Amino acid sequence: MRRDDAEFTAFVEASQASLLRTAWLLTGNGAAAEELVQAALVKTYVAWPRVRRESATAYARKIVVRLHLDSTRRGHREPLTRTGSVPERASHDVYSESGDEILALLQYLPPRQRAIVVLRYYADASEADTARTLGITAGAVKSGASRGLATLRRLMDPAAADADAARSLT
Amino acid sequence: MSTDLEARLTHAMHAAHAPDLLDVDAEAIVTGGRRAVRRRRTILGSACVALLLAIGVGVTHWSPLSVEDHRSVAPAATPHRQVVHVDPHAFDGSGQVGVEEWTISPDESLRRVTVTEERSDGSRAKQVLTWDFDDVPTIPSTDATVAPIRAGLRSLGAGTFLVVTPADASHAQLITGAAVPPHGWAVAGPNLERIDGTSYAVGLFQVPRSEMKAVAGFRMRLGDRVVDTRGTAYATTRLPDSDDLVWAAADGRFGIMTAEGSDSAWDAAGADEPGILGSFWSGPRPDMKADIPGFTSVATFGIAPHGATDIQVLYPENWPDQSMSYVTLPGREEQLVVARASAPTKPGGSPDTGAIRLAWTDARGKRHTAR
Repeated sequence: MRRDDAEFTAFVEASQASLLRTAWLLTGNGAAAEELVQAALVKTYVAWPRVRRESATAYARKIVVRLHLDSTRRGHREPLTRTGSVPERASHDVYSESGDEILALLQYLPPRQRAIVVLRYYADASEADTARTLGITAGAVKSGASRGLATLRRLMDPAAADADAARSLT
Repeated sequence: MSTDLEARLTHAMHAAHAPDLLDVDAEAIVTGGRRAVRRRRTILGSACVALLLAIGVGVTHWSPLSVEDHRSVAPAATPHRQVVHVDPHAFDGSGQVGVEEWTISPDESLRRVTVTEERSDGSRAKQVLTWDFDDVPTIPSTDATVAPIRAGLRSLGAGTFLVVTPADASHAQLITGAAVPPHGWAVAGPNLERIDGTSYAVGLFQVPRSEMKAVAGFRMRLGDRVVDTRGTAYATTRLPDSDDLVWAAADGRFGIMTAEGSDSAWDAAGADEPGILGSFWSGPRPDMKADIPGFTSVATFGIAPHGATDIQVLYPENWPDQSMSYVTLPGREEQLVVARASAPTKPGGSPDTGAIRLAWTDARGKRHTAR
């Protein structure tokens, strides 16, 4: 095994748990998370000679997030006759095994807001780092996080959220 | 309140019981990464050649390709492998899965493999798979032992395949997992030996959904057939100029598995008349003119009748990057035609797919055109 490959293998073993959890939080789907991380790691391998070792996990996480956001943007379809089932399709309950309502509610956030929430509150990324990862401004990160939290709050307790909103208007 | 919510979110994200995520196989990632590096070099080389050719002949747009054109360059349909989708719901993934029994009926019309899972609680789950195996020479009945699967079948949402291949070099790679594209796991099934000494083997391997097209594209040749657990036959081809897999089922369904892992499926069972079934557009592709703002990559499906020749999907002339492929519908005589082109987008972003036509020549030499 080449030295770079040995180094990369060690990196994969050290970082995969965190990357898998990030991907799972983004997708809400175990199988999709595995695929996302694997695809991101292949891309990381291709770029490995240029990747700074101290920020390799952040680099791979950035690819995970961007691949996920790309996949959510893709695909305008024109129905042909009617939709059938593909040869084999698995169904997954989003965050079904998490046991925490708040994670189940993550799925209601738009993809970019969800990515902001995951990067800020799971990966502990700063607003600036989150902005760099997503290719947006720090201001957009701040407003996205704020909106995401507001949505989660509203979903968790509609009555309290309405009361808060009413108070803020007066 | 916001602080409480942020703290709860942080705690939940770190402490929540995530599903039983499979460990990433670092070695397989390295193998896949090396392949990606090689592919990128090949693509760069091909792009240079294409650019030189385009400059040399002054190509500004391509005429529609005919089926005959395609046939002349398509690999011969010489299926020698059978791939069966194992029903992911048949096993709970808690134990080891293997091939228990392999039988062939006396008239050789029925081939049957029993796949068994021995669960951790000692119980057993079985799934019997049968299919017509007429492209592979006779294999005698044999008993076999249950073989362990290397990575387990914990993530049953991924595709699980049972593969029977001649025991040649590529098969050996398949069984060891070395040739399974980057995220696959393989298990060695029993080796089956014919009386004349020819070896075959049964393998089970599991791949994520996004790799299913890679399995089919990489491991199956154009024209190979896939049979699912309900006995429905599928034929496959590639979406032209892409790694996307197009499949057509005997029951009239057809669909596309894109290289990015998304699936779309449609039903052509009610399409009695030949013509265009519809189009699918999925955004620009970096390797085509669709990369230029104002162009969108469009894939078009159509049905050509039995006996049709000189089949063409007619795109407007100002749509570049035109190419075409086709696959004969399993159990039917018609052909599912798949074409793609780069379409100028109209205001609003949608290409004008209403202008697309399908043309063909019938057995009497008469030319037809249909929407």
